[in-house]
Amino acid sequence: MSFIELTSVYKKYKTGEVTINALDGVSFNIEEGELCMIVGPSGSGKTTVLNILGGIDSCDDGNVRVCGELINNFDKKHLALYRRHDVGFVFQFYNLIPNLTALENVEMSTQVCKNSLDPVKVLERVGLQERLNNFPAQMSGGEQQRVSIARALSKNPKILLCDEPTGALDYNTGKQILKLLQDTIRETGMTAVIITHNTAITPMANRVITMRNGKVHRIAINDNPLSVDRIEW
Amino acid sequence: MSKSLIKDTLRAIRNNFSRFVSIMLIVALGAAFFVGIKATPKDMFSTAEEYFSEYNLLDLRVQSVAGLTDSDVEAINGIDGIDYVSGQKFIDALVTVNGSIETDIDGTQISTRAYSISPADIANYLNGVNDGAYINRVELIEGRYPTAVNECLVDASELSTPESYTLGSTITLQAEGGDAPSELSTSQFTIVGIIRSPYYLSFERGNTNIGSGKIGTFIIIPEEAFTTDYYSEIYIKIAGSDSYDPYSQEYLDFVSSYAQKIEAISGRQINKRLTVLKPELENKIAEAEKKIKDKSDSATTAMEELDETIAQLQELVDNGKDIVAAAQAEFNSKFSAAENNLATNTNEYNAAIEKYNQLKKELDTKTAEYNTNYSNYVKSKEAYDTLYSQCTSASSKVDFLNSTITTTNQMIAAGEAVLDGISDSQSDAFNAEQIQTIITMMQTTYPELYAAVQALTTQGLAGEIVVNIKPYLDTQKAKLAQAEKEIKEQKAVLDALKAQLETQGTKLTQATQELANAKKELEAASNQLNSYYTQLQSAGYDIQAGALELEIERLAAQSNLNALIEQVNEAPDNLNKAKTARLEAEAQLTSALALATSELNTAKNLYNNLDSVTWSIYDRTSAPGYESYGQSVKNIEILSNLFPMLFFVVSSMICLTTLTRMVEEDRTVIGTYKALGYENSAIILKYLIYSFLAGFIGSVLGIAIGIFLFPFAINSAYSIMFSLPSLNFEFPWLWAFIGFTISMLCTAFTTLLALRKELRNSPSIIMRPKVPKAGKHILLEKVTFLWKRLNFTAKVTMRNLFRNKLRFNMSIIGITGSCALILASLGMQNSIDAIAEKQYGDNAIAKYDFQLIFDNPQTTDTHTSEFSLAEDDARVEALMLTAMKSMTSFSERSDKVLDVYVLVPENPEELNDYVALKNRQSGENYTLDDTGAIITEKLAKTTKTDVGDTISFEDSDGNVYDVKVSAIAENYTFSFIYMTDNLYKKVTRTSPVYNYAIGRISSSLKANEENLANVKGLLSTDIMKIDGITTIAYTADTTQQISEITDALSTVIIVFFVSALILAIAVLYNISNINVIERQKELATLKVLGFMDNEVSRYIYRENIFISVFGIIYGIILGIIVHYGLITFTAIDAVMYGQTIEWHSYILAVLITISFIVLVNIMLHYKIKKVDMVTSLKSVE
Repeated sequence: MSFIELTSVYKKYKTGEVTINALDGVSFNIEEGELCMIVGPSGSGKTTVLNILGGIDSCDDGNVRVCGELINNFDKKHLALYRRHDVGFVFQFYNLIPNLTALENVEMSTQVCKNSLDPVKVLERVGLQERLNNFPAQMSGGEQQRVSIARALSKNPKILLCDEPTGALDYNTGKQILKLLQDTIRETGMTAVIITHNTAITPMANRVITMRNGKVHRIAINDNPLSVDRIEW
Repeated sequence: MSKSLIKDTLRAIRNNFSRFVSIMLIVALGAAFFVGIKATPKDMFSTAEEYFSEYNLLDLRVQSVAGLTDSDVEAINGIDGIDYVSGQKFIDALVTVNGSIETDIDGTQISTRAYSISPADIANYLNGVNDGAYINRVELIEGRYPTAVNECLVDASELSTPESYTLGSTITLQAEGGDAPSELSTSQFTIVGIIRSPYYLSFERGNTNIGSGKIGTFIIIPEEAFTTDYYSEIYIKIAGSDSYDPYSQEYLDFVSSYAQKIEAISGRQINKRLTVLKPELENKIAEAEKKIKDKSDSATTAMEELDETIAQLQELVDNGKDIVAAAQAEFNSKFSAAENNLATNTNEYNAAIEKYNQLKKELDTKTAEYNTNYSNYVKSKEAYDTLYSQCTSASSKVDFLNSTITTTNQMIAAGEAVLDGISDSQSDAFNAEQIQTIITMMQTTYPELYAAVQALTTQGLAGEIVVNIKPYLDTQKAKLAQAEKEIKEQKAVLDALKAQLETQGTKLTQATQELANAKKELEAASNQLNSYYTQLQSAGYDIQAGALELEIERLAAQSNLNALIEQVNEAPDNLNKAKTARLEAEAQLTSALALATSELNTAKNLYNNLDSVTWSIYDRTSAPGYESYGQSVKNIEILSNLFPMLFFVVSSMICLTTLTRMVEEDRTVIGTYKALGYENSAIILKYLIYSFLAGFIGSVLGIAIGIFLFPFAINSAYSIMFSLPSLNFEFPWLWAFIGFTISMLCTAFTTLLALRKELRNSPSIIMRPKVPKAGKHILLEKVTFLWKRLNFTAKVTMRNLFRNKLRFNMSIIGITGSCALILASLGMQNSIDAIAEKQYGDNAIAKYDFQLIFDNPQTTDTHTSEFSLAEDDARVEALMLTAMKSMTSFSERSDKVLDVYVLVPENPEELNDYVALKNRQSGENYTLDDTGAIITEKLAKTTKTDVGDTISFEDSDGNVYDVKVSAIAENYTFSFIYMTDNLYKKVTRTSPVYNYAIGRISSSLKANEENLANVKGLLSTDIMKIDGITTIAYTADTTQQISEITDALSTVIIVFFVSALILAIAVLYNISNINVIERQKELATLKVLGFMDNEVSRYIYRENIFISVFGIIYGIILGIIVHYGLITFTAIDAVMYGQTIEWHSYILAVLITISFIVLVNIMLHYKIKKVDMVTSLKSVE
């Protein structure tokens, strides 16, 4: 049994009289410890998949199994607990609480989590030992995204979900962030799902799922993922 | 403006309809409140102004103690600019309605001012002319104008008029003392109409010098009912006065210039009047003096008699026992002696009867003896009689014999003489005469011879005689011899018999003697017995009569004695009665004298002061209620400056944040439009239309509702106190304009400001999401020891709070304002309730339950019977006399004048049992003594008087007195100056008149509250039956009337309260709502991070709680200030509001505020729940 299993997942959005099939029978598996990238053009349904995996959206049909549990059957409370304990989320726009310092943003997350890591250590690991008491507005985008990653990692989650983590960053910073993510996953053995529309970076992943029009177009398994340093785009 | 922009605008409204409505409603609320409250005083003033003008309220009023005349009227009418002048008569009198006494709000017999209405004025009304000649025209509410001299119109005020003032009832007017007023030809009037007068706006009716000193009501009677020949006052209407605002200074100045003109002519007019008045007054004074003397003389005699009676009764009371004992002893001693006497007499009588019986027996023996004697005597007599008859017969025989002898001797002698004569003398010598003698002699002795001689004589033959005689002689001689012999024999027998008879005679004599003796004895005995019997009989009578007499005497004495005992027994009662009678007489005298003296003094005063008589010229401010109406309306004006501004501030802030928020939300859209080349003005127009529509519709709606709702609600509340025609709703152009403008500023202008900020930037910047406001270290973090202690969420909360200062401040202002308004409203309710509760409730200031009013002034040392009867009633726990007079009070420290009651208790040390005199704050109790007066708090505040200051009070005659204040006591209804008898005398140089008594119902009866009404009813009935008590008034009834007044304000407060609540909800919801919307992304992030819904809510709540705590604390402080302002600015003279807000109101205000916060937060929770993680994460809004 795979660590993450999606079986015939459907998701429809209704906007007025128009129905959009965001997910149209999506099925794939991700093994434990894998770094999985989901790629595809805008509107292909990749964010929807991520949202469903992260427990912030629900599917209309099909099964979503994470770590053996069918999260599509979870009620709201269970979903919240699932998000709290099992999922680390890294957002495209970092979504830091502007009113909290870097450390506090991480603390906010660890506060509600059982197996959390020491926020300061996590921040040190993402290279922000100097910025602990800075507010998001006082940090660059890359630094903010590091805080966001630190916030996700500090929960010691089972899966790490990243939604276009480099989408708002320049090339170098983006690269550093990707490196950080790759290193962390390697070190911790965490399962990670990263969404990107940048296919150039897919070689760093163990598994690449390509989506098109709400369907899985292709699943490629890469037994020897490249280090980010060696990828150029 | 392009088509698509218009479309966009309309869609913006449709899509954000709830926001649109919320802005509209908030604007409406603010505008309604602002314009409505602002319009209220204006409407009320305009109603009054129209009322005054419609009903020709006088501009000036002239009064003179000397009275006013037609000449005065003409003179004033002659002044330029004066339109109409009208002379008026009035008297102040006490009132009974349908024969029963009605009481005023303060429990005193209601008094009335009866005004005259001239036929001209009536005609004026009936003809529908309103040219101004009929000044102080009354508004007929019910019924008709009087057509007969004994018909009247009465006051419509609900507060000052008794319920019995209904059409058809009869009003009787009385002068003080109960007589019909001398100024009127009739004192009974039938109510034919119920009226309202612009002269009396409020329930106040002014002061007088009769009764309690307060006029309770007014009536209008035809002028013909007056017998006086002068006017009491003159009404003046000035041309053009209606063009002024009656409550403006300009009006007062305008009127005052005419007052000066009138004053200028007053001197001449007064002199005219005085020439008439002087002799009138002289007569009046003489009459009054005579009346007083007569009254006092007759009363003195009556009282002297009473004094004597009292002395006698007193003697009986003091020594009654001894007197009775002495009388009893005298009675006993007198009658025991007499009875003894009677007994002795009876014994003697009985002994006498015995003796009588004995005597009677003796008499019987004597009678028997007598009878024996008598029989002896009879026998003896018989024997004697026999002997005597024998003796007699013997004696007669002897006698016969003797006579025979004699006769014979004589015959012989005669025959011999004849013979001798014939022989011796010649025959011739023998005269015929001699012969005749002889013959006559013979005739008896010797009839034969006589016959013979006769025959012979007849024959004339003497010689023959001789021849014949001789033989005869011889025979005679023989016979003689025989007879002599016989006589001898016979004599012997006789002698024997005689001897025998003599013996027998002796015997008889003896017997006779004895019988006579016996008879004598018997007679004596009998006489003795008879006399004894008579004696005895009379003695018997005497004794019986004596006994009878004694009995009668004893009964009489006994009844006397009983009467005496009874007298002694009843002596104390009688003494009391006599004393009461004496007191009554004295009181009657006193009151009669007082009345007469006061009349006299009035007349004298007037007379003495004729030289200084002036005209008093009054403007409208002297009309009762005129100023207080103005003041009340000005109070609302003050309120209208404070409250609606607060409302507007809050509502405009909500608009500001909401609209700013909207602009910020649309930032990218704005940027897009701009980038597409739209002009700034076009973009602005879109938002301007949105906000303008919301503001316009909201303000128009709000103004339209507000100008009716608020004036109507507030005016209806005040209409309990003030009696005016229904309210004029005027469109308050200025305030509507201001309200509209402010509303527009809040909406459209705010939008412009927000837009301007955005539009200043280049499209590229606007198109990008707004950089969130940077987090900042807050000041609190510097206080590290404290900051460290705060847990993480608390830190976040703090930072969040201080991050958005505008929102933070607005939230606090919103909550502060709402909480303050709620607390002030509740506190105001407390203050109003406190009046009744603290004054009359449990453990209250007025501990007395009722007040009695006496017909006559009461004596203090020994109480009158009416007082004692009332005091002795088992239901009455305690009763104390009081002297009470309505006066006005003021001080030099303030220009305010307050109506007060000057109250003098009979026993100052007991006053605290009836009225709690204590310091409101410290609770210290005060005792009234001679060192100074105790005044009530309202008076102290109004006149700015402190302990130790001097306060002045003025009676209705204009005498002003000063007294030092020794303490200030808590009190809520009316104002009092408490003084001791001594102090009052010292200050006023007159004695207080004790006409009232205050009393408590026994506490056991009061404990049974259900039955209390019954008890009171029965007590009233019984008390009213006592002669000399005019009426009884319960304080509870006063409470009721007071609460009617204060209810008016309650209504206003409720209007504010409800508005405050609505505002509170609107503010809180809006602010919280914005808070959530603004932080949607943050909240979504939290959710993604695994926070539960309620944890997210709590995250927001914590901020709200913090804001609420601040807001509530500020709100309480502001509420206290607002409450203080309310009780200061809306004060009315009759009552003092409770000065404090009750603790439960604080709690309630906080609870209400919290519950609104909770309510809003619950709504917020659902809003937070609805925050969609997916959409809010996608991009920056």
